[in-house]
Amino acid sequence: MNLEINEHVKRILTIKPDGRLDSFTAPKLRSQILEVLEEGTQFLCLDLRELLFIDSAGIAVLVNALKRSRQQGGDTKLVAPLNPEAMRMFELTKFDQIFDMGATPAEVLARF
Amino acid sequence: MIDPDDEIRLVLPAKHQYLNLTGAAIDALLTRMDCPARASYDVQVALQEICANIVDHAYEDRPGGQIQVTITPRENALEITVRDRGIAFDPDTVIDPPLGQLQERGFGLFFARQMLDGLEYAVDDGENCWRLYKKFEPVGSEVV
Repeated sequence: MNLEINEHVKRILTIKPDGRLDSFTAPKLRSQILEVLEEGTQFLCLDLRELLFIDSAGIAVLVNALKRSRQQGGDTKLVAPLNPEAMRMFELTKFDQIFDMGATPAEVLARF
Repeated sequence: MIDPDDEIRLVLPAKHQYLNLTGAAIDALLTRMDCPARASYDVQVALQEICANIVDHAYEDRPGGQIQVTITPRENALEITVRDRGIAFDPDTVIDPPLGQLQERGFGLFFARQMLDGLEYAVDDGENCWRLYKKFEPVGSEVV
């Protein structure tokens, strides 16, 4: 009997923005995400623990990342903001139900 | 101690890189008014969204525009007027985005409406004029 053993490694890229993700800073994050997706990254973990402020432009970047990564067979998951007000933005829009979110990077990475 | 009805006025170039100044001013003022963090955040988001909307839409393709923000402390409340000379806008034509879907756009006014106690728009003397109003219970004033 021959046993064929294959190891499959899933490459997951973590990006951790901090501070404000607003109409001025969101384009920078969008460009960075587009760049890594175009380079072949399929799986993204966006670590938002240090995020203090997010507006609709910031939310749009995250939703775009989710859509694009899924379009190329991958996924985007989030580490939830520690700031309760930033987290409330996800609850108001019900994006907390759309995104797969966890409390720690280890928890989120284990779910890919 | 903040004197009610004092006016604080900011005049900003209509560019995204300056909009965080509004948040810093609101945060500093509301901290001295014993405003809870949640209500302060609500005002900062709402004002950011209105100003970003002005940059993107009212002044679209019109360089050199300005945004005038007037902040007036009221008793356990904050009133803000935002004026610009860009293209007029009818917020009544903007419906709330669908929630729980992969929708990217349309959340700016949604956030402003959700987070304020009052949001009005009018054209006044040739200027777009937004009025934002937020009430709050000062920290430490809760009845035990």
